[in-house]
Amino acid sequence: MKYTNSIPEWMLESENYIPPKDSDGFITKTILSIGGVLSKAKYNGNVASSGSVPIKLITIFVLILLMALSRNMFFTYFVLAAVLLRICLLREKVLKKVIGTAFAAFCFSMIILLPAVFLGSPKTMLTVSIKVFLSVSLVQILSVTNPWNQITGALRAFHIPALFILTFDITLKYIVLLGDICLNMLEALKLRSVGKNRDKKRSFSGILGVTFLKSQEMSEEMYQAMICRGFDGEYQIYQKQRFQAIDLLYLLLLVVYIGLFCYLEGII
Amino acid sequence: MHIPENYLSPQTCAVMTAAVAPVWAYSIKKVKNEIPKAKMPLLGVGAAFSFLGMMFNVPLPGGTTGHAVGGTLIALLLGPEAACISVSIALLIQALLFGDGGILAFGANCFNMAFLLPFVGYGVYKLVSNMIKSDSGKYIGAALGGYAGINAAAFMAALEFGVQPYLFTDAAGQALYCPYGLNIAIPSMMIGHLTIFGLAEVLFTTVIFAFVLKTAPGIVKESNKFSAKSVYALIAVLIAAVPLGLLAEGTAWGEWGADEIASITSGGTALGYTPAGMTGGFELSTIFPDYTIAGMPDVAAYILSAIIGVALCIILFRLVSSMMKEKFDFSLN
Repeated sequence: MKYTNSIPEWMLESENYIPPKDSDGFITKTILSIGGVLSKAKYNGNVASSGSVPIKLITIFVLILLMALSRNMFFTYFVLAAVLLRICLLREKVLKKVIGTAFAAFCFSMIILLPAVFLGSPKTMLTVSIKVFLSVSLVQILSVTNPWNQITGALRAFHIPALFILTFDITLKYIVLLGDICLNMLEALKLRSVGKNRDKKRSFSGILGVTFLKSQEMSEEMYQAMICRGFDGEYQIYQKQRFQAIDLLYLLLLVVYIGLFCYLEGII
Repeated sequence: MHIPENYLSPQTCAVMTAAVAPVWAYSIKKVKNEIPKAKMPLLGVGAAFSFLGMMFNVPLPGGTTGHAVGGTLIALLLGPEAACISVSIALLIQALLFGDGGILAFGANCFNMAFLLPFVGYGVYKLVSNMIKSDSGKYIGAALGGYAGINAAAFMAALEFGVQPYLFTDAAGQALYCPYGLNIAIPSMMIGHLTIFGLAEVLFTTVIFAFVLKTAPGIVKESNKFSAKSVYALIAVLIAAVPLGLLAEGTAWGEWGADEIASITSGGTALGYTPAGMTGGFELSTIFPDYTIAGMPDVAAYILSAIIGVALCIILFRLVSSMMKEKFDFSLN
């Protein structure tokens, strides 16, 4: 074979291939939403909490309940002050997440309630939206500052059986595991679909189908592993924490806010 | 479909949680009979699958996308009782960790999406697939089941929204929770769900169900013991009883509230007027329409607004400064 130094003609031609456009918004959107969940879960893996999570959970639950029960906005403004102060103290990365989610919920609520302004309930748009903002902020603050398995573990305080807590933990773990599998398949589908691909939608249906089959396989494997390690259906949670100063702060907050609620609603 | 906090009154939430509790008990009992106790935690994997299913965007004709809840699909794959538990766990994790759907509204969300949706969907599927005994019967059943399930859930959500303004208003007659009555809530929920979201659910259910049936026919759970009649009866009773329960609860609340309303209005009618800034953009004063409320000294109000104002400024400042940091300069100079 004879070798030449010159580059073949066809290689010198400039390529100008523009793949025809095809709608793949559904793939991108799904990748984004699953990716969002995975990144939150990944971030949460490094979070260490201080103080008792059950006490925080109860405080948040009571605040949300009182806010929903309150008939004048003053109590809500007190909660707003506390929530905003707490957000101020968050680290920058987390602060953005909390504000972003809560503000999105606030805006969504404003849009939903906008027609009510013209239907004789002008105040409802603001009151409900502010309460939505606060409820979402409270949950988000809890979720970004505490390990998720401790939050689900704290449900013990509400007398939820230990077997359920174990199930929640497995769910959290498998959201990440199965989410990763989904994400890989979605990305593969996206990369392989250059230009028009008529099979795209069909392959898309296969992704969740395969994930389901995979989940069945994985749960069987996990069951075998659990049996090997002596699991007999009983599960105990060892979460003994010492009472810390921050717990006292939360309890104090709880008492003060219950007092405020009673005072502002005219119960006392 | 996820009802956020404060759209339903706490009373409604309590009624809905009470309504869904027996369903949970029934489902757990049923699942326990079929699955040994040691295998119970594996429902967690089903819950994770159901959580991920809710993240998927379904491509719809015309280039748009829509979300499906996927309750019917889970019911077809795992059985309706296991679906009830799996979807409930997924909803709890969404409410508790992702701020999606309210914590107080958790019971209502479970009633709509973890009970009505999978049970109605599965019931319709059983009915149709028993009538047409072939593979296409199964697919038609899955499609109709998905459609019926999502619309039953949406209708129930609309009812829950719709009763709020009749039952819960403040001193000036302004709605405390969802302001839309049944005449608005039902059409606005149903139009979307009878069309786009219904279609998304149908596609989601049928296509994935067909895929699993074709690839792994043995894995789909065929519960022969499922009696559609008992579920229909349960649904009928609950649909009839829940609004009654809401109304009964509401009158009791209204009676209690009458004395309270008087004490609130005596100091001023602050809650009743339209904030002036509503039409012309937002000012801080618009979110503080009631500076002077009965029994609340002005000083407290000013301190409170100062705290909120300062905190807002700090948050804004930190957000802006974090955005500035992220800009990298790639220029050679």
